Amino acid sequence: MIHLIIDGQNVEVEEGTTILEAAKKVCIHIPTLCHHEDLSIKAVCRICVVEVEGQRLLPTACSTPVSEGMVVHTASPKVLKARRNILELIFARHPQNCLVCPKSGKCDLQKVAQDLGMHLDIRYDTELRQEKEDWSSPAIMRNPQKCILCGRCLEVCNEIQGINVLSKENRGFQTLVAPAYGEKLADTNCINCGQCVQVCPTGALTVHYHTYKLLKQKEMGKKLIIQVAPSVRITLAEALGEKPGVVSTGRLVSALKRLGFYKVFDSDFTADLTIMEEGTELLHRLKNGGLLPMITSCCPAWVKYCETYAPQYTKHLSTAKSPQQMFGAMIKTWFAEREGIDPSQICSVSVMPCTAKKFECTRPEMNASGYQDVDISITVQELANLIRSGGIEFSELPDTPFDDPFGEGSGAGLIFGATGGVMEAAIRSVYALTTGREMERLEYTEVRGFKGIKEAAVNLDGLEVKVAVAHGMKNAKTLLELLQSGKADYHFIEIMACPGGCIGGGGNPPKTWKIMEERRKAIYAAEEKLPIRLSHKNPAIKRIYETYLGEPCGEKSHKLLHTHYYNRQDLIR
Amino acid sequence: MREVHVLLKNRGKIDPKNAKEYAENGGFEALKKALSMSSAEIIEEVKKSGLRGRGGAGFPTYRKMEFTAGAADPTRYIVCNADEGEPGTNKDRILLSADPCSIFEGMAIAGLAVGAHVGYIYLRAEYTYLFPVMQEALLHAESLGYLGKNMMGSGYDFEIKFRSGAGAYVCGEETALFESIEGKRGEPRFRPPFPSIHGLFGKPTMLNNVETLANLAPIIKNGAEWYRTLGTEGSPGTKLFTVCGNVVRRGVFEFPMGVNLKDIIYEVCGGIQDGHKLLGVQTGGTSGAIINADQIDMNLDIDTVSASGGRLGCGTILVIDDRNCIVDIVLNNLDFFRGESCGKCTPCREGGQQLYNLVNRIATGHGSVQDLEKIDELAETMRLTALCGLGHSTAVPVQTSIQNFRGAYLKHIDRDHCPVCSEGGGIYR
Repeated sequence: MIHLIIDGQNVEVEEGTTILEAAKKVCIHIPTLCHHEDLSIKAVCRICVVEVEGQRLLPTACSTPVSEGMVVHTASPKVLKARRNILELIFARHPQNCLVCPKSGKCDLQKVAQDLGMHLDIRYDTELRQEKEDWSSPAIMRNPQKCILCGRCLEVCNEIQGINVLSKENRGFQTLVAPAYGEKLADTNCINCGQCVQVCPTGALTVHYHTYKLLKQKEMGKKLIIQVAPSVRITLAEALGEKPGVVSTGRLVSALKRLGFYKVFDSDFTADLTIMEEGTELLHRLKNGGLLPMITSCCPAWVKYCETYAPQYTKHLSTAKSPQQMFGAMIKTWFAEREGIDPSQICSVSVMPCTAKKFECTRPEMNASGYQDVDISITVQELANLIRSGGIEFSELPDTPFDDPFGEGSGAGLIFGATGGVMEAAIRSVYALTTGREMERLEYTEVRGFKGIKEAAVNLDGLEVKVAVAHGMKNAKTLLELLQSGKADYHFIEIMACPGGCIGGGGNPPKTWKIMEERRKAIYAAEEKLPIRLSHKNPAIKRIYETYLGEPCGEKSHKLLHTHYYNRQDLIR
Repeated sequence: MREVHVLLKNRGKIDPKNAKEYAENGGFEALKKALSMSSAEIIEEVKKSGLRGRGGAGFPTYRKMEFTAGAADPTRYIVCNADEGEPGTNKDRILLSADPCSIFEGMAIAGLAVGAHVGYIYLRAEYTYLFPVMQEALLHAESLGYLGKNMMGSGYDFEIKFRSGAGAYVCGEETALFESIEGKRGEPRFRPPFPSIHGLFGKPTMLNNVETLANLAPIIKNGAEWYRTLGTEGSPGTKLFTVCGNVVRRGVFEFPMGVNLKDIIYEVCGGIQDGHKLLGVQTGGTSGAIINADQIDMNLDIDTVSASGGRLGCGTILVIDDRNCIVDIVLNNLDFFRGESCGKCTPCREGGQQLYNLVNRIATGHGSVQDLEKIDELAETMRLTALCGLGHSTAVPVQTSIQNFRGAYLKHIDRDHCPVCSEGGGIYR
């Protein structure tokens, strides 16, 4: 153990602890900007400098390990003066229009500025970067002027996701984080996962907001129909200031009703539909010598990755659409017909934990109804804004159930939100449909948890089905390499682009692994309480097949619920 | 005043490409001796010699050797820092082009001291034309059995590899240099961990300047006691000085440490050109202190120069005569630094530009006395908080010149007449 003194407090910590961590132990908060608890140490913003007795310079608390007998001052006049001076330098290169910034109130830079009491005018020439906002991507908005070059997005994009869209250009004062060759984000190999948005401390990378577009549709008198993804009920309360892991299904429906949505449906329903279609497809492939392994296709970021980096594997992707797109197709066909609404008068909205869903709904082939199936996809963060601007006291709302006929979803549909969830849901139904009996324990824990790649084997009365689950693109890449080298003989693979699955999606409030653990617990706890926990047992699903679709993977399903993929390899050439 | 040639003894006397000629002139004797010594013995000899790094910081070489030799990881590297980017400095180029084998020998001795079998020479992008000469010399030395596999039958392998960057000044900073060798963007790393534990490719690495490595062979060959007869108590040995600027005779000279600056300017280099008057001197390159004409009676050794607020650095002496304006010179320095900042840390990236803006305001006749205070505070912040030496030292020429030439700054602030800046008409620029 190492003993040191921080601001007069005796601290005892393990060797290798940083000054920042040691200070936290004695309730001393050192301001940081580039530091993120789940990412590597950067030590580039220099805001966390402290004074260490006997040292000539001011070392950074985030990167400097403690040593025996160290005497640290974290807020001496010398330290505060240096910190303020550094902040002033950042301000001189940062737009001062915080009031109209989407990150306002949630911005780390703003927070540090408030903490340090930056109330005086900046004494330096203010000069913003020349590069303008990039709205080209439907998922992510980039504003290089607000970038403070902390390097968090670079690590996430390059090291954790392995996509390498963002990199540093030029040097010195001209340094810029941008896609290579000055390309617009939409023209790059960006998979729209939004993980960069999750870690950006300022408004340099934000969700591409579509709330104005939504209000416009309302103004035009369109019938607003919204579907709610499984994870949204897990993270919305958190986005509105409640603690992580608060499940707010009923309040969420109430809020959407008050916001003027004509119908509020549950995407858990189409998650069940996905299981029916995907599960049937898997059984077909298993029985008829089809191409294996089959890989899930519900994650649009993963699908774009596959189309771009591994187009040889698009044939392995399940042809089943994602739950969002299945819903889109059903609303503007069957539902419109049933209700006697002209589909052109419907504005089909989805609220998702995901930024890539915004890209998915604009894919040109997603028009099975003859119209764009899903018109607008908004994220949890945008919905939170809508609720706030709607003047709705979310914490006090009563519960309301989802609307019929798509208001019923099974527990299997709900767990789509966590990594391994799709796999678990599929196994539950496939097992029951092939063996004719339910699994002894529905909780298939082998595929739960945050391990990068999870493997399991299920015995379907003699037929052994090997499965694997990967989350985070780096893990997915490893899995693909295993396949490529012939070292893996899986039958079914689930891939989710975001670390942790959809509860870690780019449209959620900012996460850490600690928060993710709470979200994960919440989703499984909520699932256990549901009356129906198998997709094929969902009465609404049975009804839709009986009255409209016929059978899974049948003719009608093929038209509405299945899709095809492209080769986007040119994006990386 | 006569030069003392220890490092430059072969300059112009042997064919640099010919390792045999190098050996015939006493080369590789030190390596042969080192091969019969233990690692601890070599380090002890270097320790007794008092050798300090010649790249700028003046860190005792034996301590780097001790740290690296004591590291847990058995794979270690020697890196020769030949990224001589300091404006006006040419000493490493002279050593590498005139006597490359002496550097190879020094690297091999360093390799023996720390247990490394691979050494990298990181050559400045602008010096890549030296590669053929160095390559030929290395191949020749290897073919004669002096270097490479099984050096002189000892069973010890030491391989030397050449690398070059893309021309960034910051790559002369040791950790940025590692990043560059590893094929990444040349940006410094935070410390600790230090290179002796976590250096090139994450392995324990000893990085030395070309000139430091050139000192190893003479020390091992002639002994620490002999070495200490040269130079001063705190800075033994000789030093290469690159004299540039407004002197009659410019070039690279070798003198024992502690030689007087005034003597170098007036006796060795023949004084100021065309009868002009000396205005000031910048020692140690762009990042060095600028002193005025009254302060030049100074002994050039590491500690004396440091005590005067500057640093001996790589031994560059820029002589400035009265045809120049100090504010203009400093602005030029800052222009260099703001362009060469890698952009990684805030103080250097933003501060470098703002410092330039502030001095520029004064230089163009728009400054105020408050600007001098702002400069001082910003310079101090950069010195205290920047990630690497580049950011720390950007402030040095500014701070020292304000101290030593305050009058010149005030003259510009008062829009008084500056004969240099007002040349070409208009009020300054």
